[in-house]
Amino acid sequence: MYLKPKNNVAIVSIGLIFLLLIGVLLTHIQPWVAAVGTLALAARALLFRGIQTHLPNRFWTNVLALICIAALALTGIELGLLNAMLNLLVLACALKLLLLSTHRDFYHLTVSLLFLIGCGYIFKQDMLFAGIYSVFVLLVLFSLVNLHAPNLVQKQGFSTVVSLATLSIPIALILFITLPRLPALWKVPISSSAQTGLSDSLTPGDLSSLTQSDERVFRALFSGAVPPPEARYWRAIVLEDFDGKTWQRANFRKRVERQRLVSPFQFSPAVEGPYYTYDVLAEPSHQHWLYSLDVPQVIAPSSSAGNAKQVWVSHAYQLLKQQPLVSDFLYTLRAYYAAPLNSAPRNIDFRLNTQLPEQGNPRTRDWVASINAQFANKHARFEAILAHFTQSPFRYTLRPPLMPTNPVDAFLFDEQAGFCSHYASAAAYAFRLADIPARVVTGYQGGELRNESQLSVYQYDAHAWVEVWLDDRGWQRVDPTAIVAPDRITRGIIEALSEEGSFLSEQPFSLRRYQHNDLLNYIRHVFDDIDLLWSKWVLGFNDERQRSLLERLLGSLSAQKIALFTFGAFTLIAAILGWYFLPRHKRKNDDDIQRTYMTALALMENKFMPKAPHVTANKYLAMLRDTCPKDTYETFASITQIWHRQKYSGHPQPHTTAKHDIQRQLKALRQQVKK
Amino acid sequence: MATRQLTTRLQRIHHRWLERRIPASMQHQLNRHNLFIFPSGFGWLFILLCIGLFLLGTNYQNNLMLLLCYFLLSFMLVSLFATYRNLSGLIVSSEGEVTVYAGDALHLPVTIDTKVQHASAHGEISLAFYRSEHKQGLDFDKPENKTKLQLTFHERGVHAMPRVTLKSVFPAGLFTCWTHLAFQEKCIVYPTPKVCRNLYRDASHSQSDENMANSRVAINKGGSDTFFGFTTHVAGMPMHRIAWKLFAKGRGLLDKQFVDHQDSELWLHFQDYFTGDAEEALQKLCYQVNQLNLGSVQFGLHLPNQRIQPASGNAHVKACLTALAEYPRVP
Repeated sequence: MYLKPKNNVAIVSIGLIFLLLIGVLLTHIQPWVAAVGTLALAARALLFRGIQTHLPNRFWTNVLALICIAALALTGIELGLLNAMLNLLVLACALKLLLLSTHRDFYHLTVSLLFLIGCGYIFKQDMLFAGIYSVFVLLVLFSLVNLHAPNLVQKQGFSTVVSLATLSIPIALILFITLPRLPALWKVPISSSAQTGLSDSLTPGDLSSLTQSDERVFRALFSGAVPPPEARYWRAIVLEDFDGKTWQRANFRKRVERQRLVSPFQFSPAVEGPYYTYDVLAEPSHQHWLYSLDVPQVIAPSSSAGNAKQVWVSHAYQLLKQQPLVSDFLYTLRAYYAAPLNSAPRNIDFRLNTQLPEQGNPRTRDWVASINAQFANKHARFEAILAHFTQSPFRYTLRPPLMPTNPVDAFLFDEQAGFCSHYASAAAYAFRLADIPARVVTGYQGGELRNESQLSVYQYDAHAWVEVWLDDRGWQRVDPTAIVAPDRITRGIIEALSEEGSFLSEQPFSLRRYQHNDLLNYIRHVFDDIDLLWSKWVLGFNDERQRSLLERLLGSLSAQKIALFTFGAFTLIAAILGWYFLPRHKRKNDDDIQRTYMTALALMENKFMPKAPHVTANKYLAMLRDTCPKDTYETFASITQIWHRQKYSGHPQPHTTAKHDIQRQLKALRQQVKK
Repeated sequence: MATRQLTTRLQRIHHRWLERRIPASMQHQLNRHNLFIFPSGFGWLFILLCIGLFLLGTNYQNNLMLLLCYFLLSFMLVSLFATYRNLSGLIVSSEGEVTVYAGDALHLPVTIDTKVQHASAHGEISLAFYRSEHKQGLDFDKPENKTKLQLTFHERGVHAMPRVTLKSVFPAGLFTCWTHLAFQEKCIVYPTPKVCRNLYRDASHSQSDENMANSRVAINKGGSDTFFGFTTHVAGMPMHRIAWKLFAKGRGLLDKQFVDHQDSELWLHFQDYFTGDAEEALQKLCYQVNQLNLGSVQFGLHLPNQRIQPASGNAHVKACLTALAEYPRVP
């Protein structure tokens, strides 16, 4: 079936959705792809305005499609599978829009757009975007309804969509709650454009862009005590490979991680002593690492059959996730804060963490060599190196000068200004030169305490620190930044930078900047609480949560109960559908009025005289005239009149008015008859 | 070959099943006995989309994607009912006789009454004869609820009337809801009238075949006495006998004819028109029956297999034409 001018509303609305989708996904699609999409829309608009009269030739559109696909194939290698798919979808929609001439084309476009909306959820999952995308979905459905009912009043078209959607939502929720949740079926491609947060390499100066972001990284919900600020070191990545400038994850570690699933050799750190228990609700980062306080032990997701080894602790005490963190993820940990970090194979740790670059940073080498000559004891060397940080005039700043060559030299002896990544990098290098195994750990430090048990950690809490191995206690945390700027650790980055004013200086509208304003802070916290519920119950709803919800509803779970519950859920769905669709006896509008009249008539018959079947209503009224009191007569007369007018005259009053009138009169009549 | 046989056989089974399920009637109320519903092509594509979203949502462990998938599935489920409900309760009727001349288009009027429904119907529906490509659209959101379906039979006879297929995909196009309604079982197709000279027989002489030539009614070309009927105008005939009123009505140039005697009954004999081709004879007879119908003359029809006594009026004409249509075909 061909599209006709009457289908213009449907075409315009689908075009509009496409335009809005391009806008929302702009950061994840190639600029030229967005341009092709916009041009296709422009061509459609011209066609619609009548400026252009012909659809583009099918041949040339196919040529254009081939060119686009070739271009995408050329650039797509760097894009990764996910982004390539996204771009391809946008291109397909654009070309389909150009050729849109039949119902079939329209259907294809609809399905592509819906899939594109689904893909949009990979990148954004907060409530705002969920709302925007829901509106898009409704608009797509509206355009479908409009396609099939072009002459339907648009308001009615919307109400059709809304009523169908309102009916679908409870069914969808029942499905969402009851259907079993499968683990990921295969490894998903991740999008480089969607990756946020820390990366697996650290060059001094790297974290400064993160400190400009007030995006939330995760929430920690403690059951019981919350660790003090100076203990809130959230480990994410351990960097053990240094080339004189950049710290990276050791290749050896990566290899071990890759082979982990097939290797029989599993690491479980020895833990004992007191611990904190907490849930972490992590926001998507499209990376593999999670956040934990030392020493982590995974409580949930438990390593039960379904999600075996979803989350695990590596030899570097890093918490890792098998699948990338592509959607909100909830896990429960214990932090054995007093346990030593010494259960990983020691020889490997030593071999990796004493490695040094061949060249570079000569002044640092000389300086540490002199310390080495002075002290034979490693503890003494360690103290001597740290003393440099306390005794020299180091400055904590987010705006350090650039140090392109021999960065450690430049930082330690010339500039002496920088932030955590500079301090950690330089200190770890110096320790290694002093023959002390040392490595850089990146993660987050601090967090905003919302109430007694909830900590929110933001990107600007990104931090880097050092771990050294001095004796049998194993790896110990050393934070040179804390020596220079103790405020950073105890009171957070906001206080530490209060004089410099560089905190979130690139985000003037961030509510986070205005946290001294009570009202704005209150608003921010309200949003935060709503967002927590959203993350916890919608985004973080996983099989464990599903089970605990069912357990709360049903008590202990048995196969019988689950079967009954499933049956109940489907009955509920059937009931929803039945309630809406089963033919109900349509109550005619004049029924109320008829009934009221009959009631009034019965009253009159009881009190005065019965009405013979052949006597008409008006005649009966005339007969009553002489037999009943005047006020009663008048009331009954007006009842008869309203009834007669609504039923027989060609110009009845609006039903509600007439109903109101006649019922008022009946009330009066009742009182008059009672007298 | 085998597949074709199989398809025709399946079609016959389907047809017989339909006969039992939806017997012919002038009026049908659409309900679960006569409505069929199945996902459309788009519906299957939509299911594929949902599967895609489910896989993506499961792999990314993305609850919003899963929710979207479940929402779309639920929407599809709901629209199954909505599509059915949109048509159910409608009364579809078709009045009128279905007779037509071979080669002429038959216009079957179809009226849909939407007032009887619980919820009002919306959207476009398509109407067509069973397996026909010619679809008529009808929009419930427009006041007009009538349409005519066109059909042409090329051979005279009694034909099975094809069913009317009514289809709707409202609201979302995910499901097709359709029905095949039969309004009449048969359609009588008259022979195509063929213009010819009239060869009427007077009733008084019709018994003997020998004086066939003599017995033909002397049509008074001069134009006296009783008006008898019309004949096609031939150039050269006097202009004053042209029936201008009929011409004005668009029936072409016809000459008025008059006969001497009023009471005579005329007979149309098959043999008079038979020149070797029975079909042609029937076509000529058909023409003559129509011609005689214009006047007020009583006439009879004599076919080898049937005799219809002289009479006049629409019922009679219909009987005659039906007899012509039903005349057994010579192989």
